[in-house]
Amino acid sequence: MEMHNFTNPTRQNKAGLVVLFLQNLFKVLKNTFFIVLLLGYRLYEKVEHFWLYVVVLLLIILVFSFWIAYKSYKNFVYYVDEGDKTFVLEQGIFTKVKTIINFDKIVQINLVQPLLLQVLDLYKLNIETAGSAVAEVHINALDEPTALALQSYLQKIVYKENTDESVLIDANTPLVEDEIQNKAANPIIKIPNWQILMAGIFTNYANGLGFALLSMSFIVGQLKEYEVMVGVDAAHWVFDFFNNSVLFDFALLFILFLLSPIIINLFRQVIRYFNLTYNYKLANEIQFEYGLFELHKRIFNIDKLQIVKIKENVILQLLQLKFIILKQIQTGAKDKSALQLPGLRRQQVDEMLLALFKQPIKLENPMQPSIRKFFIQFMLIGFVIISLGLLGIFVFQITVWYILLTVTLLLSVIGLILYKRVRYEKFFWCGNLLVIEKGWLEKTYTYCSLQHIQIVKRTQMLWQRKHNLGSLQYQTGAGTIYLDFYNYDFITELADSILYKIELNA
Amino acid sequence: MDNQSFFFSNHQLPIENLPKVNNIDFQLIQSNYWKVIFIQSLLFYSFVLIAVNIIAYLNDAPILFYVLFHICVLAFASTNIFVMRKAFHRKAFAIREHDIVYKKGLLGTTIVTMPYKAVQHVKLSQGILSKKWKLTTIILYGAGGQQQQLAIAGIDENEAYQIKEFILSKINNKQVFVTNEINEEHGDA
Repeated sequence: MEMHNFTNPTRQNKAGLVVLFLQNLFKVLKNTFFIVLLLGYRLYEKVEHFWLYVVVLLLIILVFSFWIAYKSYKNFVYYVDEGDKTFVLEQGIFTKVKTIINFDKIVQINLVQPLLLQVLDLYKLNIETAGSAVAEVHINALDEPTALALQSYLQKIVYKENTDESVLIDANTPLVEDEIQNKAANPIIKIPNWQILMAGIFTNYANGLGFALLSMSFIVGQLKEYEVMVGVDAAHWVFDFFNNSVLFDFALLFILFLLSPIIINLFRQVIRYFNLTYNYKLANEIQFEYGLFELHKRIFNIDKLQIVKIKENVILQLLQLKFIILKQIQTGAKDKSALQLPGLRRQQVDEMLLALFKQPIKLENPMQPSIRKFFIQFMLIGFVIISLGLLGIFVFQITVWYILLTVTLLLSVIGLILYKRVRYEKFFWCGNLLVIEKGWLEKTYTYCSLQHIQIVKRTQMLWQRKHNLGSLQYQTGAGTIYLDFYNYDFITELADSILYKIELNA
Repeated sequence: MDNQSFFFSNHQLPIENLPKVNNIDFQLIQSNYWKVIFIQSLLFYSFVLIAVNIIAYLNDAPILFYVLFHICVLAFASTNIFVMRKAFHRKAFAIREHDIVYKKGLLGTTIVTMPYKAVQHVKLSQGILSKKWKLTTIILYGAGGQQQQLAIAGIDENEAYQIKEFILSKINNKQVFVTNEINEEHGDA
């Protein structure tokens, strides 16, 4: 078996030279394509031996790309400094860059295998770190044994850093034995692709429908502008429109727009999470594997977990499926480290929650927001809708009956949705775990462990004092959770208890 | 293992006995900080007046526009400064053993608490005007980017430095001496 010693500076796999060369070549071609095309168009007839120059230019680009790839490969080394508890990466051609990452800042270590790397049987290793100011690390080309050994080795170091448990840190022997033992003890769980597809489509169907409606309203707007421009009577225009062969095109467009969310989700969910499997490796790790064109081997560190969201709706309930989102500390503006798991069964979700929070969760004794939350929200939205209606009547001279009908319809629908949302909102305080249930037709359960709360903010406005109401915000590394219009005594008690428990664990 | 379990204790505490944020003696932020806010506001509104006057002059705006515009800006600025003055008196903070608490709000009260355990790094910031009156803004960052932060402006320069040292010592579990210094400082204030 090949021995790995990551404490010595190590280069990437030699086949990585091909990867770096192709990446550089693609970059150069992408950046110079339009300039070269424009120059070629201008000079094609003016310059003698034009194609000879083209070949020379291509050769220069090839040589330059190879030189850059070679220098990148030679200057790129990584190693682990066990004394300083850091992972070090040195790179750069003209400017040398040394990236040092403390073990305790490592959030996640992922292996990714895009198509090109699949052909060369190589893996890309990404290290995600906490905080936007700290750079992420990408090692572009590692052979499979090295990639797996490095991932396992780093994971064990991080685990040791975050716990008091002594873990044997060895890059070589424990890997295979661990794999065999873990596979026997914790079998790999596979999520069928049809479940992923169904969960993906029906979790985001509201967004998709909104997108389709927006697109339709845009098309109708464009058609109306066309109608005004041509000056055709609306009734005649519509009659002509439907009588001509355009009807078929229109119907086709409509169906395409209705299908757009399904197509988007097909790409977003099924291709990304194709053949999703996971297993519980160690006490604080879950290993995920997924992807059709880009294979991901991701070890999820439970200690870095901040928020868990579980989504379900009427259709998913019928199909007995749920959608889980695991959020770790945000590593930048984009929440890249969030892991979405579509299509899990209820039992699988319960098992995962138990593994994540190490306690059975019983949602009992719910607290609910005051109905005044609905009145305030309805008043604010009602004010905006009625103002827009008045604007329509007095400024744009729209028929009063049309505005009245629209405003009444909108207020009724929005009122119903807001009322149901407030009535279905529930907050559960289960020991060290805070759970909030929101939504009417599409429910979201947000789970947050007390130890990950960073800032607690409580607010009571003047008009809330009389009814003893207030709001609480608790901020975590993966976002803020809001409790609005709850009993203020409860809010105060909860805030004090949260702080007490956080500080007790310090 | 036996030794560990022997020393481990986890007694239940009644919730009414927990330390309450409502019982804290808050320390107001330095009164000189109002001068900073006031001058910053004056500078802002002066800039708006000058810029709009130049644009209006170049476009031959009627006299009525100048009159209405100046009345509106004056009314808005005086209301804004009045509200800020009222809100200023309600800004206060407290340094506790395990957390820092900041209170603010005019139409309501907002109490923000950040345990030292959650602090990733501390930053002191000082503008030109704040420097004149030896004031500093202390910013505490949590993990997870810019969103998780608590900023308290208008703290005395020396006091801010001591608070920073105290928090850093808390993070590094070296807390004894700085705690005493800060308590004395608060006692004097």
